[in-house]
Amino acid sequence: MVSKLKRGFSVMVAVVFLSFVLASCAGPKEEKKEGQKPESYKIGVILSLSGPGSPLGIPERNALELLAEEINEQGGIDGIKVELLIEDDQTDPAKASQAARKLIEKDKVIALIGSSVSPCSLAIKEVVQNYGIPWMCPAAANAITEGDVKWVFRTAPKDAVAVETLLRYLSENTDFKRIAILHDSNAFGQSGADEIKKRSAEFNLEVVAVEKYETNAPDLTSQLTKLKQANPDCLIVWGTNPGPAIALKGMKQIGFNVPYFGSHGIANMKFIELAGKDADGVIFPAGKILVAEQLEEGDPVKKVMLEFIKKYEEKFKEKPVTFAAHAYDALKILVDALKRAGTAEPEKLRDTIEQTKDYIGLDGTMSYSSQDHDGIGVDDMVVVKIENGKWVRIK
Amino acid sequence: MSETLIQLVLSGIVLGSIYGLIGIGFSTVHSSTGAINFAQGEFAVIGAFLCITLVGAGLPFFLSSLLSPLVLTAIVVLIFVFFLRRVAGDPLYLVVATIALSLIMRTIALHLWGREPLGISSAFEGKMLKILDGTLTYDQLLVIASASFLYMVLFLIFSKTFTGRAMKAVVEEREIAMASGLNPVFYQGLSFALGAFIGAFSGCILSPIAMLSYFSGGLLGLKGFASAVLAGLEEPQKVIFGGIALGIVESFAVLLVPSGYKDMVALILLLLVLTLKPEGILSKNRKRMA
Repeated sequence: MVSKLKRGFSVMVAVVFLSFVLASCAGPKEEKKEGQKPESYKIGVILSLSGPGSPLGIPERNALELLAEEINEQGGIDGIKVELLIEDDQTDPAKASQAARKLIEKDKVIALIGSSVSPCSLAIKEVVQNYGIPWMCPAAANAITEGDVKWVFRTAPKDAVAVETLLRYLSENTDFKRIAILHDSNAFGQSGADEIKKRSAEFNLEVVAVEKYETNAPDLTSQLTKLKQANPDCLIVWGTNPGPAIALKGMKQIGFNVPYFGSHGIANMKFIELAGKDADGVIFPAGKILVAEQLEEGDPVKKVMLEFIKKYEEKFKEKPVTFAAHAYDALKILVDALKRAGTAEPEKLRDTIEQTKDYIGLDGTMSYSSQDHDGIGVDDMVVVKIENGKWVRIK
Repeated sequence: MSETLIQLVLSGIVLGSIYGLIGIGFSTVHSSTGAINFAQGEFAVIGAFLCITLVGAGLPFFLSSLLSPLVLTAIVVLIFVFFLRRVAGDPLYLVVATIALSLIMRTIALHLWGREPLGISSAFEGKMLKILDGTLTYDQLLVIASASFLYMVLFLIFSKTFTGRAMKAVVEEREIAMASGLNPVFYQGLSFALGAFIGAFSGCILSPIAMLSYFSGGLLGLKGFASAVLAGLEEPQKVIFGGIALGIVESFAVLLVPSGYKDMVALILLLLVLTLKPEGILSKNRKRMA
């Protein structure tokens, strides 16, 4: 008797579950008639909200939510609200690819934004090419805008732009000829180092030694000792925290006293906090927003940047980092294009994004064209020096 | 040139002492359970973070680097009593349980201390010591000194004391040990406590050097494990030498092999030892590996 009751109960549970599943499958069918306006524009967002990429992903999410809220408060896009569907890829390319498929197939998003780091973004690129929907990318690797870029639009400065900014500074403002490179073995470090090697001759510079290290290496003195042996005029360190700070310590220890140049990967307070006093004198390329207060009054981006910084600080009680700017611009450009196109039809929307001209954003003044899907150019980056623990724009 | 060589040796010894300190924990736990504790790297990371928090609260560095291991040891003992104890008799279950533990500790570290790497300033105001033509910072000297000190302490514990011999006996001759009245679970708990203390202490003295982040435990654990395997896993004190061997090989790899292959060297060494001399290069007696 008891067992019968039990069986009856479990059958019931199964039926309840099944009906839930069926109900969610059937769902309220949204049959859109031609010409009828959708209730909202669904935009898929894939960011690294956990894992090693999360220092980028969290501020990116903050900026996107801030902007979406603002747009919707002002009535949306011609009365249609913007709806962000945010997925966490856990800094894992496989998860990023999965999320992209899910957002496109199941949620029927009209466009994608993401992801925070380059490997995840490259995984999304493959999916986007298959399905054919517009994709705004806030990550840096050169490869993102190489090959077939029909659906790809980038808002971050690609590695090549940051490298060019730094190398140009070295050739125009210093007498250094022989450079040594120390870089992280991750995608960011490798891509930067390759670019420096490729472009150095153009700027009359010679790469005399290259060493790399694992992202979490506890000590870099062996690599630095080897680099010191090559007797370079200066050292370029291309990596994200904490490697560049550990390198500074190691240089001081072994008496490797040459000027230190960094990447935009250290354009954050964390680097100054980790390196302490040793950080003074370090020079690196960065987006203008890092030194927004120090831009010339005539620079059209200054006002936009200062306004954003104020709003962001009010809401999140911290200074926005450059990654927040990349995500903000991605959504802003997409929304502007939706306004102009008046439709979310993929081909039409893509063409409209491509026609973006002189958009004044947080990363600089951006334009796309059929040849150029990188909004940011060398003019949009500045060279920054750390003095007494503060960023100072130089040149 | 000699300047380069000396600095590479010194850097190798520093790296090696770090690896060795982490590796000791593997070996200690292995000695009484026959299992590999995959949370060993996380012990170091959480130890370091606790220490940084205590220093931030105004305590002196040296006091913090003793308090933090005590706190972590207490936590690990509790975890052992409530959870790990149940699977401590079976190395396979225990390994899986420690993998789970490592993931949990990593997630907790992420939530308590955030995503960014943490570091503290030098415990010795950045003072350095010139040795021949090379340089070591006092912070690095502390790591080397601690490794040497632990070598001696562990040597005494495992070869001279009853407790040390009992810790090994409960896994090597389980039935005989139990028949003579030893409680395996007690000694296994003790070895976890010892592993946690040493792991957390290593993390503490590493924090002025390495700037760890919540996921640093993976790399540290791998290198520590390699050191322990090199030394044969049987005698915890020897792991220091396994570590230093690995550190020096890695350091010289920078000089000898193309850049970037440095990290492969450790893994190749690990594979070679595991296939050719699984009892470890420092082990005298040929014995099966668990």
